[in-house]
Amino acid sequence: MGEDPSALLAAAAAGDSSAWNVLVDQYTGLLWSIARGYRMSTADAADAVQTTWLRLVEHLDRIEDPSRLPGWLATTVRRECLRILRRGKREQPAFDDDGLPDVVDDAPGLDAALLDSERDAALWRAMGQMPERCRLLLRVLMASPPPSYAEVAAALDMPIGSIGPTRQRCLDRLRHIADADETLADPAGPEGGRR
Amino acid sequence: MNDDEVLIAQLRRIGDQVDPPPQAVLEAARAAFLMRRIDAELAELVLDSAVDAGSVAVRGGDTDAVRMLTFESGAVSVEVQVTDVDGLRSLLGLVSGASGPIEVETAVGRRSVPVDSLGRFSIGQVPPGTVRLHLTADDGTAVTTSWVGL
Repeated sequence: MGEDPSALLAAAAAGDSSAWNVLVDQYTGLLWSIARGYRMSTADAADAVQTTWLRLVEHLDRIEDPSRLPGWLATTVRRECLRILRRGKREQPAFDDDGLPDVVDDAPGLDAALLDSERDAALWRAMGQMPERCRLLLRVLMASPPPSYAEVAAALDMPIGSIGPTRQRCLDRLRHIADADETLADPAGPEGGRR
Repeated sequence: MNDDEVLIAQLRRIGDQVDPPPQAVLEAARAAFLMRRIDAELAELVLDSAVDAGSVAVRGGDTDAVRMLTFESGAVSVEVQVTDVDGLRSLLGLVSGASGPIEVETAVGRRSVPVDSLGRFSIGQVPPGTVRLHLTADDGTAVTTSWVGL
């Protein structure tokens, strides 16, 4: 996917901030998806992603195998998420930056209202009802731009060979839940439910 | 594309719509590059009781638990004990191989605290978020710790 991370990493290590920005644009979507996959709140996901980028800045000169940078990033953000999870739920700040209460991951009912198509909304709601491992895998697979299996394996700490079969099983389950959801859903008015 | 790939692409489109990385996260990531310290030696986080096994900290939802961090570079080691005080972090530290004041850097700025003759230092009222420390090794080398989320 995208430009060769080795060349970008070398350029960034030599001080080229535009190369750095390309790396950020290329991989922040993946890092964000991983953090969301681990059910981080907006604030915690932002912390995990930012700490990952700060770690890369620290290690710009010492990434052993630059071609595996995406895997390094995925591993680093996963570790940061686990760090946050194991630290336990941190105190809720009185306000977020925007002054609104933080929406904990998913809140599928709410966010689904942003989607135009009922099928999209049903799929997003179904994501929230998936077993943990499936939800995590799918949330990472749907990162933008699309991650490679090697990156997904690093993000989830699972063997590459098991991603394909697990993906198939999880997607079948997602279809099943979304189908049932659509069958049950009321035919809501076109204006209904928007935040 | 087979059905599964079509569905993944549909999910990606949904994710782009309802849960993309916030603009502030992208901007902070770009700005992280400006935090680079080429002149300083990195003291890596080698132990974090919140993550590493065999830790001294009590886990399991005990919010009063003390968190222990250890940073090490070639010549310098810094141990920091982190506690929560009214939603802010309080740091008690012990440094060896370095002397002189220690600077604590957070997202909002920097602050300098003294180190006593035994290498002890204390930093109160640190806002939650990423933090790193700057210090000077006994041989004059500038040392910066890894960023750590507190």
